[in-house]
Amino acid sequence: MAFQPISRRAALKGLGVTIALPLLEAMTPSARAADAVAKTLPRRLVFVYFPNGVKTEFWKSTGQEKEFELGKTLAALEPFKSNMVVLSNLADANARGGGAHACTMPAYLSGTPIFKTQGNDIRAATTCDQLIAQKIGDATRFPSLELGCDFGQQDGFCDTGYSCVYQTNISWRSATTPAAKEVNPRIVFDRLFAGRSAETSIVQQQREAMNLSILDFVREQAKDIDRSVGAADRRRMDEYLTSIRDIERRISAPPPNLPANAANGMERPTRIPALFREHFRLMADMLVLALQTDMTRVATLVMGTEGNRRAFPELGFTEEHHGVSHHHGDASLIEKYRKINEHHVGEMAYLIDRISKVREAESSLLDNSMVVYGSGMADGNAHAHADIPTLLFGKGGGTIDTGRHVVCPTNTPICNLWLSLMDRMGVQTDRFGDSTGLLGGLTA
Amino acid sequence: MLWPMKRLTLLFTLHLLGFLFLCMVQRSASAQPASGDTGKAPPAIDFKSTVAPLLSKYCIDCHGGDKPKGDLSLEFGDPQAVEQRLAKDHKLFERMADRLETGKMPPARKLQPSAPEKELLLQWITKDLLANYAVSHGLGRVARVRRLSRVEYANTVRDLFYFPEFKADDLPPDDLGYGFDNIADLLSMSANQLELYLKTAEQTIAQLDATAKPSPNWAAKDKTYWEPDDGVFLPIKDLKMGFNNNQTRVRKVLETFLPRAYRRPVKPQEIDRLMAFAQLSLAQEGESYIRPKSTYAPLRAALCSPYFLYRIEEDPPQGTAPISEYELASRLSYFLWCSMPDDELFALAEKNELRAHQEEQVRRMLRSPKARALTENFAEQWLHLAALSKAAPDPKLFPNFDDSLRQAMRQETALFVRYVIEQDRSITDFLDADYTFLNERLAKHYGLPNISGEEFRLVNLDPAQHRGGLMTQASVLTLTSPPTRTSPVKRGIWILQTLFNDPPSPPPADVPPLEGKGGALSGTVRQVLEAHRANAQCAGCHSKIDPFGLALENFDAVGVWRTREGQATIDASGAFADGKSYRDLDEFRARLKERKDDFRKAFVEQLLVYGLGRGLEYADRSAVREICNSAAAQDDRFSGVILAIVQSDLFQKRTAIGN
Repeated sequence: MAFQPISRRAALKGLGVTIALPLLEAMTPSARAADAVAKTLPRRLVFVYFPNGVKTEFWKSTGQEKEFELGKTLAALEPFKSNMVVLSNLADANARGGGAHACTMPAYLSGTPIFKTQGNDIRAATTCDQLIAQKIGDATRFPSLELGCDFGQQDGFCDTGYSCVYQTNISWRSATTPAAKEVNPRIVFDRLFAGRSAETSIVQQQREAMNLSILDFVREQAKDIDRSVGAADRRRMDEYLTSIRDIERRISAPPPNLPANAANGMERPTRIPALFREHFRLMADMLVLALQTDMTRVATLVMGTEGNRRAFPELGFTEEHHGVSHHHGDASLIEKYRKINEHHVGEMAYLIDRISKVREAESSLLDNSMVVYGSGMADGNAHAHADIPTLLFGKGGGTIDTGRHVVCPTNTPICNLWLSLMDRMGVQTDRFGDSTGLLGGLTA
Repeated sequence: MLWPMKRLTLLFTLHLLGFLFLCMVQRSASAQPASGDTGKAPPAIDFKSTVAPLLSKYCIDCHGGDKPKGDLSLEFGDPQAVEQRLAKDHKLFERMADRLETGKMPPARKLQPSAPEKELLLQWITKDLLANYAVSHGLGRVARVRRLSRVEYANTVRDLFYFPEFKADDLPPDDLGYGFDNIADLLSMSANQLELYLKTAEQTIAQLDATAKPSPNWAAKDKTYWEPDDGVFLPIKDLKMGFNNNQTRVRKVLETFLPRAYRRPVKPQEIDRLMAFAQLSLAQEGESYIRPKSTYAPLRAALCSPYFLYRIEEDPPQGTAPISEYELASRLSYFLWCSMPDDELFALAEKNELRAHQEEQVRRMLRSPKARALTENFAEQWLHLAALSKAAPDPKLFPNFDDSLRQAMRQETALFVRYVIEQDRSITDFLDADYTFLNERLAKHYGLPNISGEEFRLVNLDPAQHRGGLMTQASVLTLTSPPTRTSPVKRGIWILQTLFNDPPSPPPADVPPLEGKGGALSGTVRQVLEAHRANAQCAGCHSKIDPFGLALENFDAVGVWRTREGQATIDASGAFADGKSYRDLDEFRARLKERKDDFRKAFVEQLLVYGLGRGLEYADRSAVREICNSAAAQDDRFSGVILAIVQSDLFQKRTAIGN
């Protein structure tokens, strides 16, 4: 396959380095009301996932609390050091088991063991992003967004004994229904912005009226089917009925502050870029716009699915990611592994940069957000799940003291962090997954 | 009113029989009365007094203590511990039953259970544990409600409108299970997915055109009596009657269209409900986004209906019963065509004559060009051919490899599979055959002279060419190779997985690659693998895998014949774990053909998974055996295998929940 980088400059023409018109700021009636607005600004939570773990000694930061040095791999994040918390010693214990790559992603945000099956009777668990979406999602057009840069394996068998469904899905609405990620930037663009410009809005309104009628019609049918099937078969129609409700909300209740041109000058992508950087940045740009315009407050963005075999010819070598992660101490493979890790981190820096440049009243979008960058796998070579790489960006609306390296007690469940983030997003619960309590240390 | 009495008598008889047969079989799964909603029967064999002593006597010696063999402990403290283990991994107990049944466990050198003891253990595992587990987890049933996969959806839209082709590339790919993308439990729905169905429906209807012609390939026969009206094909007899008004016309279109879209007869009320959309559409005529065609809105709505998007089957009130004729039509068409039934199948179902004519219908369906779905969908997935698109042979080592060669490789395998299907050859051709399909490019790659041009053609293979069967095709040899060298391990796994449905366990995470730390092999691939197998920890799996790959060492990483690897002469000999050996590739191929029973079983199992949309469970085994026997009696002809599957109860019947 030939690589044909599309001109990002063209694709993002008009987007500029800074986004000039943050909607929430536009809402602000006057500077006098700014304080009041700051208190009501919504918090946002984003999980950015990368696969196949890291070369831990390059990743690990040294020092503690405010006196710390970022690991070598994290160099690109130096400008955001004061806006992040580096977390050490968190563990994803439920990812352990026969299928390390299969279990890691669904266990990561659920803290629950994954049922081993090739397909019959799949069972993972509701993930924390979806729990939050189910609780607070009514406030926004999209309860949550699930984005990604690859669909996952499309041939043969994934991890032995496990269906590929586990390996491709990080977000789960329920134990049996994944919230599949969208990989095609064009479809994401259309979902978010289509018809949001003046010239398309009449067609769009007519389309939506028609679709609402169709949804009424198919709801009657789905309810009939639902009534006639037993409990064991009901979940399929439940999914369908839930989907109807979700679309109706998208159509009927767009947030009042969504402007005519929410895409803000971004051009409609036409295809899935071959290069990771192009692809990720398109997804990142759309994610930032969605957060900025309050279309959603919860999102997952998967750089690559676990066990990912993407090759990065742009880095000057042809070996694929998963193979490189199993370097077995080979110096040249370790070097390639490090380069891939750094490449991902560099793109994360791009995303954080964008988020930090969106103004919201007297603050920035980053100040009101919590952006996790991490993986359920620590050392990819050994499939280790202790001390998994975890970075937390943003001040969570003033609830997180950044610029620190927090060294947690060894093997603290990552679910303690999720519990603390859920708490900040308005989902209060005593336990989540294998949590043992709120994570201490997010405030100094 | 009669049947509960009968059931009691049957149960009594079985009880008596069970008593006579050493009190072992106390109830039979088929005669099991449902107890409560789950239908779960109480255990018939007492764990503590009966099973535990046997496990302790014959198994725990190795599979117990701190370091149980194979990391498998069978030391269960109480029945609850067994239940927990079962809930976590019921496949483990299937393997236990297998090993016990085939005499692999306990190993020959160990104390052996008596026949009644063995039978008792098997009854405990298969009835008390596995059968109950399957019932309480709803396993072993074809899904009552099953979403069309992306490919099924696209093909169905294509055939519903007689489009020459239709793609639904915006829909996300479906997750794979058992290697296939049509597994019911993995076909979920989401708002994003439904939104894409709404969008695709709108775009599809916008494509309709009253001047459309049916696809020349697939509707040629239909064309004689179908004519388009509003872009939907109607029987000519209906068109000729003329319509008094628009309302009647729309209704007629829907009466023809809707039963095809829902794949079953529809009630007049269902047409009434859709007519409401025609009103809506008429009222809006002239609006830019809706074509001024009053049928289009109802059609668009029908394409989003759960009756279209899902395959729905009715459960019998209780027990097991044949599915309806319309359900059978869909099972047949999605199995063989990966699409909806055609008019002939519908017509037979309407007359309740499909089951009576199913053999001739299956043969007709296999002859249809639509049966290419068996190659393009089933076989591509079965053989992992999509992986070929990701193969990346090192351009320095393999300068001849490019995309056109990649395409030619894939084409060879596709044509070969299609030939077996269309010519109704024996499925053992997949293991070994004296023919294949080549064009000039691929023939040169194989070193075969006198084949020119881009066209593929049937080529007879000489024994001296050492090729024949799927695993000697460049597609398979390439997709199982890393960029710089061959991998007998990957090739072996591919053979075990696809040809014998017997994949090995996964390797531990920290196994080093064959290349040492310098990144280069210290010797031939074969030598390095031999060293690897010398490690007892590795030997367990690799003595099972490697012999299947080492035989193919005469083919390099892109499938070119070679006799040397570097300075060394290729040694393609090997020995299987069961002691049988081969001297070279030709003898290996002969050995494989001797295992045609194993291959037939594997092939049947994988076709069944694909055809039923679910994984197979322990209870399916007797059915698999019967299908295999029946297929063997048909000389393993492809149609014989398909018919054996189609005629089996697994394909013909449904079981009510809890039975």
